[in-house]
Amino acid sequence: METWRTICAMPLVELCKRLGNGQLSSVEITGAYLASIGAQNSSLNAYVDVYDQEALAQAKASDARRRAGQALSPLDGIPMAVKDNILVKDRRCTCASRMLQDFIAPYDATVIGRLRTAGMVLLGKLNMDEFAMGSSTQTSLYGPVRNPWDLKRSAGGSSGGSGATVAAGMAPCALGSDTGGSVLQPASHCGVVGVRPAYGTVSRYGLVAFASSLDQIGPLCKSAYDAALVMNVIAGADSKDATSREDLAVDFLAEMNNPVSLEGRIFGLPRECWEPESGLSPVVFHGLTEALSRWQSLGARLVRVSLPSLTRAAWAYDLLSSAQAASNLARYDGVRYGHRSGDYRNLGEMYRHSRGEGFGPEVKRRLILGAAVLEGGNSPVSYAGAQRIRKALFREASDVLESCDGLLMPVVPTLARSLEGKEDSVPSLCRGDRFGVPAGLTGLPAVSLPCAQDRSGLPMGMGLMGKRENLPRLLAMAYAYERAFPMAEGTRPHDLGWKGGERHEA
Amino acid sequence: MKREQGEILEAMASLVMLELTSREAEVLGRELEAALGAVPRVEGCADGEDCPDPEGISGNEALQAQEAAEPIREDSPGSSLPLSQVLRNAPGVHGPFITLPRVLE
Repeated sequence: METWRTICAMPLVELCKRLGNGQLSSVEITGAYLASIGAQNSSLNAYVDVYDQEALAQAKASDARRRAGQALSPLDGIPMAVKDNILVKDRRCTCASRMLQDFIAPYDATVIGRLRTAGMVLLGKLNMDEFAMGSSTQTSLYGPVRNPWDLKRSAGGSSGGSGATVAAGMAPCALGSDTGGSVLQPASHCGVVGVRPAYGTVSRYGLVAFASSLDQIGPLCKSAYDAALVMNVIAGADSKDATSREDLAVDFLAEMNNPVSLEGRIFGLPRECWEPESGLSPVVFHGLTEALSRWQSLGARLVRVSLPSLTRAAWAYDLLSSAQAASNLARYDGVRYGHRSGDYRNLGEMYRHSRGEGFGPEVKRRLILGAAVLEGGNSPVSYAGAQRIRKALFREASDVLESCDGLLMPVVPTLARSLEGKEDSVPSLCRGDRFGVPAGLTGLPAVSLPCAQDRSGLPMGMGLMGKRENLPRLLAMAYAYERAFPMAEGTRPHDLGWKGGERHEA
Repeated sequence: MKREQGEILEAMASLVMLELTSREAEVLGRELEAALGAVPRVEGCADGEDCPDPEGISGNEALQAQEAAEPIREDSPGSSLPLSQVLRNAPGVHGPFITLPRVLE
């Protein structure tokens, strides 16, 4: 009999295989993950809610379907967890904010409906930065998520709970949301694969809105293959999200089963990311340039390219996302949604006091900046100027991708930050965001792939960005790399005992 | 906090309906000033220094960029949601109407 440690170290594809051939049941797998959560969550602070009874009931139902030969999908019975800004009917959805501390979701998000249709088991909700605003989960009502590789460090953000959960083997896969790097960055810090699909690939219906022209839901998994499995479940057009598109919902496994070679593939290295003035820390520069040589050893051709607008991307992102947040978060006024102050004499006071008490400092900062952007007339801050930079970046990336198979760039310029140091200043945070925002600003798909570790084992991700319709190809190329250079056995926090055979053969 | 900076902050807080403590006003005032101070970098296009020329993009390219960044499809008019479905998601119902919580006691 497998122990929970062994089961929780298995990649998703291995769990599917063992469910399919009867070696494991969904109850065994779900029970193992609940044990893992019980053993580790108090240290990591990744889950904010665990649905233990409901998860076991869903697992039993899944096992019954399999016994009857009526499995709903290859992932029927596989447990997973979701960020706490995705609505699950009749469960609280707090966005890690006092404002929504008691909010019960009246319906399922479309992605939750898709997971249920595939028979997946929902383990619970994951910690995050308040309203997804932040990059370390330090703005969470519940306190920061700790990095499984080093508990003194942040797991990244805003989907820090999703990254830590997968890295620590507390779920085989998780959903996060990415507005300006919120899936890619925690994936990099936690040593897991994170996917930001092209804008329109996954419905955002039931995702609490932050910046509507940027938000996108994406999976965090142990491997690119696992991520393709999850993408096949969650992608697709939805009449409830006018930005979702059917043409982007292709078979993400198609190129996995006929693995692509990296031989002769051309990858652009934007000089704005790799040159000394880019702000890359020496340890990340060293780790990732060694990784680049491994891409070359597989036959990849690396060419220098330029995305001049990248140097302004983080500021453009800050202005655009803050403006859209100021609009989206206007609904939290204590009337229909959220915390209502007990201290008011008139309606205006009720609005101001409720929002003043309900929102944390980072949300307030962005609302104030957003107001300055939207106010326009007397403000020097220009929404249109930021939008011009966004369009220019899209044009530059599209031009480069006409002659490249993808762009290789750092995801984050530094290792995971310490939770014991002083908080970063705003400009410093923007510099940290600069490599995470291009995918969000351009709407192009990107993957964060673990490619290097520092001497103490802290992971670093390589960002791989491509054309809008090319996420299956990006995942296949990432798969080619990770098959050739898997992270060393025993160095991952979730290598809890499983040493089994081929990791990716379903 | 400078007077002008304080006035700007007060106006912005009023726009987004936020009551700020004096400590928050101090911190946010500094951060807003820092953000506004960085605007020339964002607006570098106007400075003419090493910046893209988005205005030089052709009409089609600009349209493609816009569509890629905001791929909104055409509206396809359909029938309204059934009243029962609308009311199912309401916080409170009185006959065919949605009821809202009382705001003023």
